Amino acid sequence: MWQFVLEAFAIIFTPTTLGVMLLGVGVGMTVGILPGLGGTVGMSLLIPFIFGMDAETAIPLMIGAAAVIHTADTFPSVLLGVPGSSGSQATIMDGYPLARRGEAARALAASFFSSMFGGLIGACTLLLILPIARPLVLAFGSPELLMLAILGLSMVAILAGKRPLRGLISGVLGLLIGAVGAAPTSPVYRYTFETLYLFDGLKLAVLALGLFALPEILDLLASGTSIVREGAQQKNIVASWKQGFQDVVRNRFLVFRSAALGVMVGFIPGLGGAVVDWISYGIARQTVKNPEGFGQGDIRGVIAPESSNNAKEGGALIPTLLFGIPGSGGTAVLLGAFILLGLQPGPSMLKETGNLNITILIIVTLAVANVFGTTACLLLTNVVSRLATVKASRLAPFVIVIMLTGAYQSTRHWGDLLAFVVIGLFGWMMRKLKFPLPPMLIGFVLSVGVERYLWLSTARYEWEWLTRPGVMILAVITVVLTVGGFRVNQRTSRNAQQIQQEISNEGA
Amino acid sequence: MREHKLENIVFLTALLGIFGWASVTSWGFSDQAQTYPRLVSYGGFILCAIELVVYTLTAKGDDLKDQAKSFFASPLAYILLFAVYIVAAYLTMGETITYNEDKLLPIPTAISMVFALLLTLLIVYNVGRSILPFVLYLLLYYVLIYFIGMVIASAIFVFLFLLFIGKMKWYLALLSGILVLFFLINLEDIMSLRWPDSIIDPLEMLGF
Repeated sequence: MWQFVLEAFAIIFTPTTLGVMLLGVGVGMTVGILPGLGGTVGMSLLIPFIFGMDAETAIPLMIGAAAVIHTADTFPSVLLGVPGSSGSQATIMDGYPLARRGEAARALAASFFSSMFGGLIGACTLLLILPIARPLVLAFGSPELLMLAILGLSMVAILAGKRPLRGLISGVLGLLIGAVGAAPTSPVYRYTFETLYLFDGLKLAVLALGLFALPEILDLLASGTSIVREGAQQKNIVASWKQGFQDVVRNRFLVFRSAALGVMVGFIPGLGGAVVDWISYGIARQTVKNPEGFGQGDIRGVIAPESSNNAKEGGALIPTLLFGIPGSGGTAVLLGAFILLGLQPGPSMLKETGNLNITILIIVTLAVANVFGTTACLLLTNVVSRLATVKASRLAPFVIVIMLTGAYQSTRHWGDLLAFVVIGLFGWMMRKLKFPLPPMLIGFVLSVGVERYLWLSTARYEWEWLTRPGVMILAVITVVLTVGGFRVNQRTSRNAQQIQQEISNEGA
Repeated sequence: MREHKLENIVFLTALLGIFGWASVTSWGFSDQAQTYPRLVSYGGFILCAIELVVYTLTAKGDDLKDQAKSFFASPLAYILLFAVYIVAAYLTMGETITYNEDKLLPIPTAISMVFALLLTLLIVYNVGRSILPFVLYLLLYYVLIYFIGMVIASAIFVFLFLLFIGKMKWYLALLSGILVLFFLINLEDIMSLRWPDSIIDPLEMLGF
């Protein structure tokens, strides 16, 4: 196998292949920076170019793009509070508050370094677990997938903040919105008002943009300020890079375990990247020391999701390559590309006499593209982070145009534009009335999975699925995380009350 | 920051209504399709009811003097809106209107949409009316998209927004609008994007 690794490095660093990979990295970065455009768009863009290419040229192009989308998508998450793609939703929680404090460059640098290390760890882990990947993937049946979805839902408890009941309401509302459209278990359309647009349900990009981006832009415009709060000092860019790098080194264990988690969630088909960042964020908040700063600009809240969302890309390739099961829209297009190139996903991808060399090339490209993508993003940081200092009234029209462009590409229906503004106003009201928004997004993302796997589990195993060892282990983890989440929230709000009390006593 | 107790109660009541409607509607789906939305909407209904009761009993009230100053900020405005909605929906139960030549829309559904819009406007007006001018600009943008297409509408929107809200010099605002125009035209070509249909397509007329 190691001989193939060396060969893959030799292929990647030939001028033509390197140039093609850099083109892919450029496309991936562009797609990542533009809110609403995700991996599916990035992969689809490149499909026309691979006709007539050989696999050793086409794969660096496609994988180069896939590898860096979740690195570049941090720009809008940190600077605008808008998820650049589905994998960078949780980064908003602490990245945006850091930008508002004038620490955008530090947050971006920490994010890029953790993305790079996460991507590299993901690629290495993928390489090491390839021989045992097949039985590992097959160990996950629908009951375990259901429990993983419920584990994702338990993050609601962690993100609910000071008002857990409202967090739960928000999460349940997300589950209900996720039930709009065609039922996954039978040919029935639910809550569609006979509207063609709703037959396929609402799209994640429209919901995420509406829920987070529009309320933020409206509030910024109303306040008449820039993203960076008045009085916040912008730091020197090199010092910020250094600080971001030190943050990552200081939290290396967090980077490592978040990346490992990313690979694990990635290789389980059906959950995909939309949830890995939330799980990683939630677990980090549960397990680190002094988590009180999470949600208010704690750098560890950026490092954890960013390490896992790049690492996930490696994991997501396992079911795609070994079973031909794409875990997301992006990997579905990638699978199509493999078939176009004459590669047949299956056990032959692991055989030395088969296509193991191609599998290794994919892994090596993932690693190399991560390094190039991170370098390019770091070089852009200085220019892009200045956007945070532009007055909202001058930045907003451009952001709104980009957001509407991104939202419309979801289904290319007028409904995308209408849903964006309706959800935006609804999200704004929820925010003003102190309903946490992230639980709604988590509920929405996991809704279809929960329903599908619940139905499959009960239809196949009745209630016996509850006694499966994997289910029980995941149930215990879920309970521990949920209880811990409530305790952390209580401790955080108690501390905040104490500080307020002390301030008022000093004032008196 | 004000707690907006009245608006919180109204919003929770509206959510209660949404979950209630969702649970009633779910009974009309086939067996396999109804279990999940029914469980979710029951759960949401119960959670909302608990939160509504707990919040109403425990939250500190708004300054009633503030509410007395304006009719729109008073409980009466919300009660009136809810009452008119319920009566109108009840009286039109079972009636439909035809749209798009052959499609039927139940009148209570149409009334519910109008009610949701008015309720949203009322809450926005009371909670943060300073965003209303920007929402109007956004709606103007939508109208422009509908008539002249996304690309030209975006350029005009950026120009007008920068000129009147951003207080930018007219030539800089114009330049920004033109840059957006060329950015979107190129983005469409490079990324194979599509734009919403519009009544007229000036770009096509100009040969783009």
